[in-house]
Amino acid sequence: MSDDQPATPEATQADAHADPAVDIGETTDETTVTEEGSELERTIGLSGGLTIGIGTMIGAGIFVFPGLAAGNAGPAAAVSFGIGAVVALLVALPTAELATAMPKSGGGYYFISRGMGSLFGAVVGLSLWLGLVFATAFYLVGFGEYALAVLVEIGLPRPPDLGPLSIVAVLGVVCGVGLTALSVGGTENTTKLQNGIVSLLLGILAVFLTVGIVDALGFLGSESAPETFAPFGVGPILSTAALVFTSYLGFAQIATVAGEMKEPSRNLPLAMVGSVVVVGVLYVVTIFVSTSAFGSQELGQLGETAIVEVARSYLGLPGAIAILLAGLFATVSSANASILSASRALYAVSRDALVPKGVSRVNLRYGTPHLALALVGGPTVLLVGTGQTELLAEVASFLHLIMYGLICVTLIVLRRQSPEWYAPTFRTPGYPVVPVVGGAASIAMIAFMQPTSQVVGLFVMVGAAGWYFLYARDVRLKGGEMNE
Amino acid sequence: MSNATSVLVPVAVLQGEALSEALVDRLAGLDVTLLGYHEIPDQTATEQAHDQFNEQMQRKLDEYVDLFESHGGTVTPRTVFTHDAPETFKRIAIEQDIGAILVPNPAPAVDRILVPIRGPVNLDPILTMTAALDGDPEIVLFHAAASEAQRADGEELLSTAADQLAEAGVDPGRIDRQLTVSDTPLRAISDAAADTGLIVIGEKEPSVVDIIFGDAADRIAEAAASPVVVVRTDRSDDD
Repeated sequence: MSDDQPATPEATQADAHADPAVDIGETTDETTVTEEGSELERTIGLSGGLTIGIGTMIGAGIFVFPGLAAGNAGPAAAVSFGIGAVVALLVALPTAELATAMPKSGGGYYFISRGMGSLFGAVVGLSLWLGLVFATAFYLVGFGEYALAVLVEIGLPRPPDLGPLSIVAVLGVVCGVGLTALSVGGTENTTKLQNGIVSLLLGILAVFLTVGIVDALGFLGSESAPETFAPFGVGPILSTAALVFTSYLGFAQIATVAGEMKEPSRNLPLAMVGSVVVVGVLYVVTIFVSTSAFGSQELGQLGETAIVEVARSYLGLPGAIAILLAGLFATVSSANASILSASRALYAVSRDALVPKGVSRVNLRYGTPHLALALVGGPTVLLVGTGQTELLAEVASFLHLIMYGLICVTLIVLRRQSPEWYAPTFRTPGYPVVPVVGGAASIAMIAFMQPTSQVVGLFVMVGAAGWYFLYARDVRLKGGEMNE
Repeated sequence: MSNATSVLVPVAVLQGEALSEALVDRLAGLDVTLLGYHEIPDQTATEQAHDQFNEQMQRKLDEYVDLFESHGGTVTPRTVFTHDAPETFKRIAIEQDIGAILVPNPAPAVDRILVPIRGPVNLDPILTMTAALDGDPEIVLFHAAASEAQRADGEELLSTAADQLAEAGVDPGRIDRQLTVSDTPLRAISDAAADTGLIVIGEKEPSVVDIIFGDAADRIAEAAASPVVVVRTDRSDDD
């Protein structure tokens, strides 16, 4: 199919319908019409999509990583975040194209299984589920840090650790159990709550960062001591980029709800690219402001909650309290969004019979997939118990980066084969350079991670492939072939 | 206006919401869009609920289609899985140029229909809808005047309405008029609705959904515990 051929919605419908393996219905701006003639309402608008993306990402990049990143790379940690943003953008564009061609639940898993077949699909689908489990655990450890910092701030004595479990892990576990129970119980207003939280966070950050920038540029007097920009050289900048890449996983979560986005051909690309740009800018500014307030070594020692001390230095006690509360909300909202995406990912693989169908059964009473949610919450809570912020973050990134690499490959494969049903309404600019560089950069990121993270990530992928050969080797998903 | 007598009948069949035969019998004369819907929380993908519940939904909906047809009506069935039921109603109402939306409540018998009339603004579509209802129920035209001074205006409004209904073919013997003076009109309507099987009321706000889920309809529908047909504004002037 040539580039200049206009892809009208009607053409998309007709083409999509031509392939039963890819099709779960016709896509309109406001609904998906299934083969049985039922309508699935699309209820998430552009702002809802941006909220999912920003809400998932912001918890990590601003409220957990600045101290750790500055400790590793010095003020050049801002470059690490910049690299992350560029890689994320290079992948977000191909993801957006695939999502407009297949606006269905399941995100990256769906595209890869339809473009590359069921083995790749199974590995990515199961890795996406576990990758999100690792990400959720990481956010919850961050939550534990903030909850502890709040206790300390209001003057309570630091509670003792419970045997091998640190108090941070205990607080994270409690929050994880609570969030899982809440999602099973079916609180229908989670979206509205999430919207409110994200707006509040952006408001707090706008004030804090503005004051920080003004001060850092020297308008408010107190001259900050100049520090070498990259005290540890280029290597740590790259390994830090790999570490903090967890801060950019949210745009793919937008793709997991592609089936519920209104006007998908317009809103999916805008929400994905927009959320990456917004958080990327915020991250870089945050690092700049943080390293202007403290030396990077000091920031590194302050750890996960370093940003609270930065706020205190600019805005005093009220600033510290605002950022503490913001940190609590941000980490909870990231964890919550990831639990929901992980449950969507499990649904997508169970729909395709890669795991037992029962996994994603919805109970009529609450209307929620209790087993899928438990399969997310359970392992998450176990991982939170380890309390290993950096390991959890890197494994989460590892598993996502594999998917990102494959998304770029899928795009190239589909463009070259150009099957009849493939009619995206958004086309990646700069093809083929963008997907080639995006895919290569994704895989390259993995090379800069700690060996432990690489081993754990590989272990998960091999496990997923093993599961495929044991359980689901006769499942055929690739578009163009017959299903089942 | 072909759609002046069209009504959207949403039923949450999977939640056990039901349409009584008495109500179906009245509605059979209208152009009915029967909307089987299932509202699910954000945790669940709409496709996911569809996979599992669609068959059950279609089966139950088919029973209602049969019920309407056995009473001589024709219905267009639609099935929607949604995270936001009001948004769905609004979309379909606009898409199909629907004249009224039914708020379903239990209706064991529909022998008496209350038609509260607030003013001349919305009168035509309300009366057209009322006249199109099947069977021979008693129709009570109701007006709550704000003060004694406005009683005469109210009487005139009700008599105009009664004449109009009679012109539309309703047996004048079935038409009853009620006028109350009250400074809390909503309360007065609720009281009058106490032993009615069905209420036909015009929407006050520009949006049907505001009425259905907003204050006014809530109070009326809950207090009355009977189904309410909310007639959308300005159908006759639309095109």
